[in-house]
Amino acid sequence: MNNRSEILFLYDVKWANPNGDPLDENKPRIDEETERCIVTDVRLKRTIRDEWLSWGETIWVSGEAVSPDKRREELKIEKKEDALKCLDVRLFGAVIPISKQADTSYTGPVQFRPGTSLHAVKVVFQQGTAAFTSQDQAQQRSFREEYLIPYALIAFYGVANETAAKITNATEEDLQKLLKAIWDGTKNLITRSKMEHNPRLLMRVVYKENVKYHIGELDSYLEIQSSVDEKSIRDISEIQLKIDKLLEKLDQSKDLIKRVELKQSDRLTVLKNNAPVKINEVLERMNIEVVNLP
Amino acid sequence: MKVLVFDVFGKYALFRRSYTTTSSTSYSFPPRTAICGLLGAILGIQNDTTESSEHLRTFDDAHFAVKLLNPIKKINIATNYVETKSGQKHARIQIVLELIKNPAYRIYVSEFGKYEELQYCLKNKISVFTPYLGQAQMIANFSYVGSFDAEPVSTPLEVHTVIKVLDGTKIFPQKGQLFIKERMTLNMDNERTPTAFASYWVEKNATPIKLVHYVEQVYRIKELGENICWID
Repeated sequence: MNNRSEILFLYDVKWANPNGDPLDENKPRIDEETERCIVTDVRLKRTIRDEWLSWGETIWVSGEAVSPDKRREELKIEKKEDALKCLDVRLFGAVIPISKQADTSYTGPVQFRPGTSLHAVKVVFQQGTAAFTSQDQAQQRSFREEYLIPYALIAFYGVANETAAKITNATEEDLQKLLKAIWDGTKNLITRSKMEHNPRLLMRVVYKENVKYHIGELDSYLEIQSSVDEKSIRDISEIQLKIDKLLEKLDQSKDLIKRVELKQSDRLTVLKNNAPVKINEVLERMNIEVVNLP
Repeated sequence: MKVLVFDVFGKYALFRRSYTTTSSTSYSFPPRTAICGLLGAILGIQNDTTESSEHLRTFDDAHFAVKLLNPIKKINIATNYVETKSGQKHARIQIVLELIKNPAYRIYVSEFGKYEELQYCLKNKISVFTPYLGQAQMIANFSYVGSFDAEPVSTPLEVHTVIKVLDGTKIFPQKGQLFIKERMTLNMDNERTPTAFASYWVEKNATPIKLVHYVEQVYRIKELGENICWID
């Protein structure tokens, strides 16, 4: 990986719990002040890792509770450097606990901030009947309880650092695997609480070689517009994404940008000057090379 | 005396209090060691191993001051970590992370060995590694304010930065102010063993603190209209 890049990823959820808080009845994580929901970076990384595992990639954090010694044995990792054969270690870094060894961690070149919804969300509490009784003789089935979010459009922002990539030997090919796994892995989240997760926009701003600059916090330049109240939004068709500020920032730094990689869902409407536009066409008019992601 | 000034901000921050074990609670502002780490990331200073803190030596001759640009607001997030001790299937351990919301700080750096290099990086928004606020997922953004002259001034006056608590330090609280006292590691040796500690007064709402008596020098940056105290 020879270039600095920034990743912006938008996905939406419908009647789901994007990220439950284990110490708060598994309620969705909400910033009480803004009423926006929060999804931790580790949730996104889990999505990515699960997708990689389904491809048969070697992954250090399998998600199974396993002692580090056992996991090292499974993967035949004897010293810290051996862990670099794992795709997730090369990209996200890791702590590889090895007894009596102090220097056991890598900082990954790719980091994501916790994601947040681009609007205030509603939380719905719902009860239902469980499928089974608790005991053989019992006549009444027990109840289940769950918290759901009717709709949320969630934005994640991340940076891929080329200098840190040299330490973990992360390659451009690894990063392309990450992009594919973000998109496909989000689609493939099919547990009950993660139904209806749809990727909507994936953008990677790739800087020229030897550029040590990046714009920073790309997600903060996004705004949404809707004719209904924020908490009443129930579908992507009720939202338009305004990217004027983002385009302005990209324009200011375009001499340093090599290309923009892009993938977008047809159902996402993007506005510039309050008129629907296609992001790739706008960027090309700004003389920024656009590559469509597979 | 010349002082380099820049703002650093992000969505969340976690400057972990060193004396807690399972729960990660956060200081209200970055300790000196976190500022060194942030500047180290910008300048691209690398340690040989992750257990080394040799990079701190680059900053031993630098003084720092920190101003809160936003009131301190916190949010608790519990995170599921994989439990690796018992090795039971599906075992998880919940860790509470206390995060600072919308963290924004102004950092002042005195003249030191890499002053010009740092100024060049800040001005052109160059960072060799990804800068962050305490933890890698708390990605930071920064903007250059300038390089200014700072002149010594004497108390009583209003100070805009956090104030290191020294013998005889006297502050005069105003209505509506809320003070937090934070005790932090000030410096570490090359093996990450703390070598010095310090306590600070910080005002939660990010308003200036009336300082009545102080034994160390306070400086004024005229162009910014700000009075600063070094944290070290």
